[in-house]
Amino acid sequence: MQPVVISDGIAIANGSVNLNVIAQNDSLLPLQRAPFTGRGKLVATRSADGLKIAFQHGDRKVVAVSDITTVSGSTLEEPTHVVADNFYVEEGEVLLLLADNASGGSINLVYRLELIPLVGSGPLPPDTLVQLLGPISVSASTTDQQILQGTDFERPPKDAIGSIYMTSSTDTGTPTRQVYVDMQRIAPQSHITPSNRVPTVPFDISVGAFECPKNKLIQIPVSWGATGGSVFLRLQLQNLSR
Amino acid sequence: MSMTPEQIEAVLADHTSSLAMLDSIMKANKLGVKVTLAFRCAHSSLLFPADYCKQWGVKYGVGLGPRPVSEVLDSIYSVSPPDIQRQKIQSIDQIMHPVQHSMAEVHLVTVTEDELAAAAAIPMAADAGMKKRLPIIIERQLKNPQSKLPAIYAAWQMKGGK
Repeated sequence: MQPVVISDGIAIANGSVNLNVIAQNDSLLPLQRAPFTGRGKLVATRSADGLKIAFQHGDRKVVAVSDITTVSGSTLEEPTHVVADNFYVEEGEVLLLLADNASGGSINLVYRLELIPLVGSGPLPPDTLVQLLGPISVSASTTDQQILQGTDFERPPKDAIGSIYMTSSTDTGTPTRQVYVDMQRIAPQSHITPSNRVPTVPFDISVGAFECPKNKLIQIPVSWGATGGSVFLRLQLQNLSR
Repeated sequence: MSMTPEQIEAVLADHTSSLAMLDSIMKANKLGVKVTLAFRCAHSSLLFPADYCKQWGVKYGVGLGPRPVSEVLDSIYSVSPPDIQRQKIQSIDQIMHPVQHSMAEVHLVTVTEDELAAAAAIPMAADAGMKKRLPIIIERQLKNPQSKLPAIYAAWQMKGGK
């Protein structure tokens, strides 16, 4: 059995939510459902700010509504443009890619969804959930106590092992972050890399491999000095059960 | 807006060890020609103000990477506008080829203040939701021979769309 690659570049209209991007392309309709049980990888970019995507297979959300990397051109590169690469789909599950363009102009979404067949029987491994956010603006001389406020995975839906990747838009003013889980500080105040982009794995690692109990709050305060700026965040939750 | 010699020197110091540009600006200003520094987009020739690189990641280019590049929006004519039926287009404003940040190089240049005003690019931070840039982009898309927009607009209006 060969891997399947679903790849497209599509204009998402301004002021619209496209609930099923894969179905927009007639030639991809036969691949709307996973043809086999396999491991999935999603790589995606957008041509301008303002477009967010989300992805789920069946009723399992893998990528919460997320900002992805903005690039000029349509070449997808790995690992810098990988959104999620550790989720497992069952044969026949619907693959749903959602795109939300709240900006004033049409934006191009380029994506590639790869499915690699798994051989053998037995239960599938749990998914790794992903959320990408940014830019999140932090004012000068302030501390934003919780940049995950109101996001899908602020409280993990299952027990998980978490990883946080962060970048800042500028080094001026020395932005720093801390990380708390269930009110316990698990990472002290630390500098944020000024890469000015959505974080990529593994280059922009901020905190790796910490326990995230189900429904316990993950809190990430960010402080900024004299100038203020924006931060970008990637939160990965490797579920411990399916 | 006029820059003082100290401000010009501060901008130049980030990019070059030569003060030749400062000399040429001061000479021109003495002759009554108001000259200033700007950053020119290599793709569109639009101009960004002198603090473009200094304020990269603060006022300009948030999310576009660590190196200052052009924020100017470019139309992608190789990608069709959104499908009217499938994406449930409700307004003619939603019909356009997608846009991308050109991310072209920016070059430090000396220009007159009139040239800067005439060719000033609209930065991202000053135009949330692309409201100022959109009419300019659509006008260009309607005129470009590669564009599918004129035919789609004509069909939309024939069917009574607004």
